[in-house]
Amino acid sequence: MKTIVGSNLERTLAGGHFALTAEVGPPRGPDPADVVKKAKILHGVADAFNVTDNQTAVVRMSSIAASKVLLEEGLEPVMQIVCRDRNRIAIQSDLLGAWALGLRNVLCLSGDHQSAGAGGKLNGHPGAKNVYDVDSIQLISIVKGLRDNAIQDGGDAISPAAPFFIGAAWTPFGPPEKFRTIRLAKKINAGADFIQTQAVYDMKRFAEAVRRAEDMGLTEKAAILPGIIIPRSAGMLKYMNASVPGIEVPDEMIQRMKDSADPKEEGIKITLELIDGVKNLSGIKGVHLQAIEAEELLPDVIKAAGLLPRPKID
Amino acid sequence: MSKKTQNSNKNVEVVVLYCQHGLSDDAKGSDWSQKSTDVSVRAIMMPCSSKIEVPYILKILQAGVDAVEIVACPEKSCKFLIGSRRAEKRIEYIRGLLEKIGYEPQRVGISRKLSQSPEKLIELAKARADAVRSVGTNPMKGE
Amino acid sequence: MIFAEWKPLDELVDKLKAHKKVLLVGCATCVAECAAGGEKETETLAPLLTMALKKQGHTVDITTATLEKQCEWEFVEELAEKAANVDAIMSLACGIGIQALAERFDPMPVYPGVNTSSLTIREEDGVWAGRCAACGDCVLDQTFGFCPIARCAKSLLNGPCGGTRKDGKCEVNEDVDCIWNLIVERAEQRGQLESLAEIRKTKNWSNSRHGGPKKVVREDLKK
Ligand code: SF4
Ligand code: SF4
Repeated sequence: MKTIVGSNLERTLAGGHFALTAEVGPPRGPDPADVVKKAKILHGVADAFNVTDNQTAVVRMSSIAASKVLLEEGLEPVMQIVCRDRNRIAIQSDLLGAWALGLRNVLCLSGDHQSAGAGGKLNGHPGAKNVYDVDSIQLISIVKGLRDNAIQDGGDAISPAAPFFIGAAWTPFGPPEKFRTIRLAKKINAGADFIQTQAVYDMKRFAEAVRRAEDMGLTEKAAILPGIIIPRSAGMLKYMNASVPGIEVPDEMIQRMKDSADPKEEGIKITLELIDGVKNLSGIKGVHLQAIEAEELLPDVIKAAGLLPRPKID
Repeated sequence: MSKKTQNSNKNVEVVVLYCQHGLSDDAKGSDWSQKSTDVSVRAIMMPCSSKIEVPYILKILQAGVDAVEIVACPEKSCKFLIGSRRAEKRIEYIRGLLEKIGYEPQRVGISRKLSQSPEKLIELAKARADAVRSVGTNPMKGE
Repeated sequence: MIFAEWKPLDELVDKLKAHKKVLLVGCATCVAECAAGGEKETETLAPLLTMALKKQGHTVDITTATLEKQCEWEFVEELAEKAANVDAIMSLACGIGIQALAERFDPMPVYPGVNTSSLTIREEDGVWAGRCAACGDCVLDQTFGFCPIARCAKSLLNGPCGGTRKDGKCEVNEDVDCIWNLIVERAEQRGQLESLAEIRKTKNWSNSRHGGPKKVVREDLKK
């Protein structure tokens, strides 16, 4: 069992445990208490917690700061970095800073375009100038360079190296579907250690996608954690199916939620079945669970899934 | 008395641009005008309504004319097939521009008629005049 | 072509209302192609602005001229006489033409009448689409002839983001193709999908605007 970074997430995976990550969205204001509140609810229920980086292009407390607050509360963060807002100079500087603060997991993403503005629910900053100096795959290479070669993208050396456990995203279903496995391979070849996927509802199709990745030897090289978003209504599932790129929800599942007298309860049932489903898939090393704007649901769901207590790693 | 009601009694100046292919033979071949107490009509023959350009119409309005009516051929009988359809789109465009600068879009209109007599053109001009009578004279008048 | 569009009309009216005589100058090259500043558009805008100004109580005399190329000094020179008789110029050329007038006719105020935004092709009548962002390091050979810098909302070099819609459109605009979807499609058609598996390193942007103002000197062409 070899680890290079020593983060809890890395060691959990290296120890052969079925890993569990969850998501914490930083607040739209400056109060650390908002993060602490979520931390208290989620303490001990997952191995690491993703901290989003201005998701849907809405300004929130920085991912680096919110990650540090989580860390102080005893939760291990996965700091997300998007390519929209910072160039290679700022990103590398933030990575060094993040390492100095004790952050050890990063997730490298392209990021939602600034025209997203929370899907029109908030103003956001559609007039902003975007950066996109590097893309998510180049970002992975940069983090790997800082870790394995102690070298910046421009070629200047750093001392000491800044070892991070590197994550990336995978959207197996979006078009061009044939390329999605190749893109996953690119990310892993660039240096991704773990992969969190777009939310999975169609287990059959997902199993096929994982098979393709397995055939390419990818599931051996990186730990794949399928994303699961706890559904709370038929409308939510319908919306995601129609409007969120890369999410496929089978009609039967939407119908099942519609027919249910208690959709909230049904959603949790579905979640548990999905967790069970991915657990039994060969090549899957854990799960990434999200309850968008309803983090308080997570502890009970995780418990019901039989995933508590989390493994203690020394 | 408001400005608008004052204007409602005034003479409204209308220019009719008509497509030569849409007019009965006896009316063809010339530009002409007719004046009555409440409407002055000037008719100008065009080779085809598709030849009517945006600046041409705007310059007529800039000169102070209250309204412009384009008389194009019905789509099916248009000699240049899409000529009259194109003219219609241009009129829509001009109406949008007029609205943006605070002028009433109804100062420009289009009708598709085949084989019209001069009397019918006057009738169309009068209808256009009625459409703008209530909004007052063109602010460019008297330039 | 260089693509430009009229600024909002009320903005233009606002700029001209302090003047008495204005020269509105079009250009018969790119901005004519994109129907913003050719002769037709110049002759459309002149009566429109005159009428708008009049409605607000300002009598402004707008004369017009359309140059062959507003970005060449010898054509700009043709304006000298007309420019001597006005107190302001409004240009409908791209930013290059506007600057040429501003330089030649200093200290006359020269107003931009258009916003210059991109390098486009006319896909069909009345439809224009961005094709190049002048990135200074062309990669079209690696992307099967589709530009990932101008045509991908995130300028991605290693394949599509997770946002490609089910119908192959870009997450940012449902009317625009995800260019990476097209790149992959063409690669597949040519049996070269594997070429896209290669990791493209961070790009050198220094030969574009990011490297500072451009200046090129060719001694062989200097007089
Ligand atoms: S790669 Fe660069 S130079 Fe080539 S078309 Fe795209 S933006 Fe233009
Ligand atoms: S959907 Fe396609 S074109 Fe749009 S940002 Fe993503 S990769 Fe680029």
